[in-house]
Amino acid sequence: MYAGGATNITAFEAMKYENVYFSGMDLRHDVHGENTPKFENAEALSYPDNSFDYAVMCAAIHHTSLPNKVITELYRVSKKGFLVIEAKDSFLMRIAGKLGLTEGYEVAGNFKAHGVNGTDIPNFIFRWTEREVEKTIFSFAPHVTHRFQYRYYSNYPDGHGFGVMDRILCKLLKPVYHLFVLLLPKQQNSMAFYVRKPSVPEDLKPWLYFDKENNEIKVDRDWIKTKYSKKLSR
Amino acid sequence: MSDNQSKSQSDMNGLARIYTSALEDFIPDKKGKVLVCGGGNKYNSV
Repeated sequence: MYAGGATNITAFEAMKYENVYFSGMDLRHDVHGENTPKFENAEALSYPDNSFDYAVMCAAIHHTSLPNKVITELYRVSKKGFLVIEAKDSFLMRIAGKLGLTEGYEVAGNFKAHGVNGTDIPNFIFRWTEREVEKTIFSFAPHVTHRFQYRYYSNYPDGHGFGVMDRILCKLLKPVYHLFVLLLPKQQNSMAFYVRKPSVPEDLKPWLYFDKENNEIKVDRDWIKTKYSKKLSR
Repeated sequence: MSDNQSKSQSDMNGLARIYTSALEDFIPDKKGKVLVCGGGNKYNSV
């Protein structure tokens, strides 16, 4: 499965990172010999919590059947934060979809084991919004305040897999697209998001506190009483 | 190389540029222990 595999090596070699552990979602261990990284199910990573300083995933989450679960796994195994690069959901992308200029399912680029969960079945292209990222993390770790950072990019299609008319339309619309995203950068088709892992007790929600003696997070009922006493007495 | 592999290769170049730029912005610590989850291999598969 391609799913960002070769891009991972290219990017990390170019950037000269020193302590990188590559894992792959390709079940076909036999086809790549010694170049096959350790197999990992991204929806249930085998590593304990906080095993790595950072976790990174590029253009692969949309090949899984549980994309939200994958980002909670990246959150769980990282100590400082995690980075994801994926397609961006936006008004412009939905228009492009209606015009047939982009796919909802990854059919045109499909080849062996390039579908959902390493199968041949073409995967749905899960495009993210900022709010989806935040809601997923808020639900997974509601005890702390998070910090999210985003960058937006354009990866304009080159027309491969399109019919002749669509390819011409794609070329004609290219300057329009670039002008549009110059004015509204969040409408670009790719997004990187970085979620910084909060610290405990510094980033705990104000209604919680850290009980050092028992080494656990507890609810500050006095804080709740003070904050909501007026509302509760109504 | 098939059409599909050729497509992936051309996509990958744009993606690699985005990737390196995002790494530079968000993870400047090059000595940190990094887990990379992703595709299968160093080479595009068939």
